[in-house]
Amino acid sequence: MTENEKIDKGIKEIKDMKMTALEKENILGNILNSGVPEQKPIRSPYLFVSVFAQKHFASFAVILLVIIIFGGAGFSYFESQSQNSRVARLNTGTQSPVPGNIFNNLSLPTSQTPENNIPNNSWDKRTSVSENKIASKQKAETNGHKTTSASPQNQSISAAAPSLMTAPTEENKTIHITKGLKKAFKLYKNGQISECQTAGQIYYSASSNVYDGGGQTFDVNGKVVGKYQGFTGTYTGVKLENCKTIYVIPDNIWGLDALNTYNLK
Amino acid sequence: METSITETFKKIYGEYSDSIFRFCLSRVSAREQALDLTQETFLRLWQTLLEEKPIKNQRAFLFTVAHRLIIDWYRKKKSYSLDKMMGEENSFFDPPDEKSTRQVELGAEGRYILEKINSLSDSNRDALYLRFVEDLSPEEIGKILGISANAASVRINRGLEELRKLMGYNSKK
Repeated sequence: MTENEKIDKGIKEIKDMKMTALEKENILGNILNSGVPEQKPIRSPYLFVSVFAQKHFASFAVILLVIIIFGGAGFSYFESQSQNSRVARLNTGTQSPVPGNIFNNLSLPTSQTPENNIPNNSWDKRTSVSENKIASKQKAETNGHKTTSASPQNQSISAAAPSLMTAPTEENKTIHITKGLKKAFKLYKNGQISECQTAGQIYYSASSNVYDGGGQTFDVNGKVVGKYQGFTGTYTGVKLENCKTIYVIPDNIWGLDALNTYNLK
Repeated sequence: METSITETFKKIYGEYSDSIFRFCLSRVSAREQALDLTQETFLRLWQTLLEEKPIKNQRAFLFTVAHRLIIDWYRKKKSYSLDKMMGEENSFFDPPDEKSTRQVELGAEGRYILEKINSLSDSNRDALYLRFVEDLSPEEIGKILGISANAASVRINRGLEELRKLMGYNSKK
């Protein structure tokens, strides 16, 4: 037997190595009964390229950089151009937060701008209202009416509360404690009460010792005849004249000295 | 859908199961182990078919999987510590020892040739076996071994020369 014949014979014997029919059947049965393999995660159809793929990393880095640069600039432009927008308002608000409550500006309603929150309570507007009323008083005084001139103290009161700005009259000195005054004191004990005389009637204007707290006006019988909205700075009700402050709580927001003319308790 | 996959699988299994078993048996020399490797190889094929992944060359795919499974099997076998085997002397499980399995049943010529083929260097052994026993083309051998067809041809020739030397024949003849 030649070399090649020996090799060929050996290879032929190797080729004859086979599984038995039973072994084949067992393996086939085992495989077909192995069931469906565990489902692998399905690739998202929206992820057409992998962000983390190294070959795309450079392009993604450039795109991200462009987004950061132009995105940031766009926001600045948007903010500067649309001062009435919600974002702009919130930004403006957060730049001047109310002390003690950093979320106060974030709670502003959509229709309200920070500017709208200020004007009616602004010092300038209140001062202008006070000056107008003082001017009207001086005019009435020159016409023969018996009134007192506005003292510096009254001016400061009027600056704090527009409805309480006029000077007291001499007639008020004889007024006694009425039901309306008791009610005003009961409700606004922690605040300020002024006594006003308008068209021969006596009214009590009271306000809370709270920023934007507002106030009410009572007649001698305790009936509410006027309201002052502290938040908006608007007053509706009986027009008040000839007012004088008769009660001020100590340590008040208006910076006034404590006062209790009628010794109210 | 699954029925057609099953039919396809059965067809491939019937055609190549003996070749894969033979390839495994020639490398591990233990029939039971060769059967396990064959089953594992066709299990991978079954899972690939179920996942509907395309297979260009089924025979090359099967031999590639079997080749890698055999490599893994040898790695695991080498990592089986002798100390651990001694410690498990009284355990219920037999270590992966070839003595515990039946040896390959071959004729004298076949056993001799197979022994010599297995004595070849690692780089030439599989190329030579796949070429002369399984009649694969150099391109297919290249795909299975992860080399080019030209490199596969070189390995086949070198393996043949090495085999002749091992058998004591003059390679120049």
